[in-house]
Amino acid sequence: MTDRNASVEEISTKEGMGIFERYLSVWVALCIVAGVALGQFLPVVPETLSQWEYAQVSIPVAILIWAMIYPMMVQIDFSAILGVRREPKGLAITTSVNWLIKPFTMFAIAWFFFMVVYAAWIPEDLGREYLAGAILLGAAPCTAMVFVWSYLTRGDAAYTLVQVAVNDIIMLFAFAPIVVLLLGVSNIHVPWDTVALSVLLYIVIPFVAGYLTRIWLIRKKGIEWFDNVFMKRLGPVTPIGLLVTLVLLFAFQGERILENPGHIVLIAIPLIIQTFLVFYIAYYWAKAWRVRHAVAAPGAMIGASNFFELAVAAAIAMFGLQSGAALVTVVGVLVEVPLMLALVRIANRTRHWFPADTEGKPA
Amino acid sequence: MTTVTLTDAARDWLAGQGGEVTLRLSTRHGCCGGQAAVPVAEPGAPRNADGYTVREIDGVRVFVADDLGAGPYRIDGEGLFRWRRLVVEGEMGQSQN
Repeated sequence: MTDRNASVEEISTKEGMGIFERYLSVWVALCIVAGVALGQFLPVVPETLSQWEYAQVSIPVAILIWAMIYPMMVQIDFSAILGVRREPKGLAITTSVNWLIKPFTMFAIAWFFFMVVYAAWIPEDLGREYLAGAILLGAAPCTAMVFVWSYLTRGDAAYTLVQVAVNDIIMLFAFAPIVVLLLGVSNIHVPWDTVALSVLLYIVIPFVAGYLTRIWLIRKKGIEWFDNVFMKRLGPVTPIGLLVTLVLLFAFQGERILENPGHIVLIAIPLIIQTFLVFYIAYYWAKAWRVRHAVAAPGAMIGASNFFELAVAAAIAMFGLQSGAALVTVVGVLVEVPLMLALVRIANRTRHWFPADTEGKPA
Repeated sequence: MTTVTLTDAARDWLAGQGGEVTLRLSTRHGCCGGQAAVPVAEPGAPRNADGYTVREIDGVRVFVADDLGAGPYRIDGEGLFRWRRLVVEGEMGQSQN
């Protein structure tokens, strides 16, 4: 490692994340404790909330999920898709890894652990619920945190914008078929209309609402007001919505957690393996194709990280707040930041593997 | 002082858009917290020019946000026909917002 690279890493880690996001795992753990305590000592709260339903959709949960997803959708600049011809190697790697490899490695690793390795500790039915949660995580690549990971690795801003726009458009069409295919292979039967409803509620509606809001506000108030005032107020809503959802979710999951606290560790192991595997597949592929580090790093990060809000939402919509699937998606949130910061360090220390930024750039 | 260059494609397109461009940082929020500021460019002057320094580059008036780093930033044009946009090559920054 060169001194220059060491300097880059030190500056990045200090500047890139505040206390809240650096210690997200701690807040998630506290939400788990708070949720379990709520379910145990004030069961009337989750019982009352669970009664507020319309067409079998929990209204409080739907509001929280929209609070998580809508702010992420509204900041996506879909016009960046016009740059699809930039960095074609990077985009080819990212798109292939995210949609042709990642969902299937997640499925294979999760199936191996939940159905084979953990067979003695986890009943088969519960193992299938955990597998379903892992499938939902694997089919939802990161859409917002990748900007932070890209910044921390000195990623190419223009390329990061393009890959997020491309990824989100593919997600609109690919998420449901991949989930249905892998659930079917796993003998987990979810009615098509349930999948369609969850995609409509938690992908299509926030996507359209976000896009229309963005267009309307930019026309009315200007892009700078949108960025500096509107998004400044709206951006923090997502992590708050995420934490409140976790409290609610664990209010329903209390019994399961108290009976099997070790399951959180068991669930985390395949998720950690998947994160490193997907990162290294994309990263080594980029190295083999001599892609610039500023493209290789964000290109590998987007697949390694997950769109947790979507996975949590889909798990709750398809399997319920009390399901093992929902628990797995939350464990994903629990391990996200420490894992991704480890990958940031790896990426910054291996900068010298890749050609200098001036090589291979459009003139 | 921030180093800014324009490609021929960007300069030619901007000439037909009034000859002005705004270069600034756009904040992106992470779903788990955190934020990053992406350098972006839009044709035209900012609605409020406070916090910008105006420079003339290759016949284009460039409004450069004061919170941009030293750069270098390269403004390029991409897209086809009426679907065109500007893209900025350069490092992300730390949001000041």
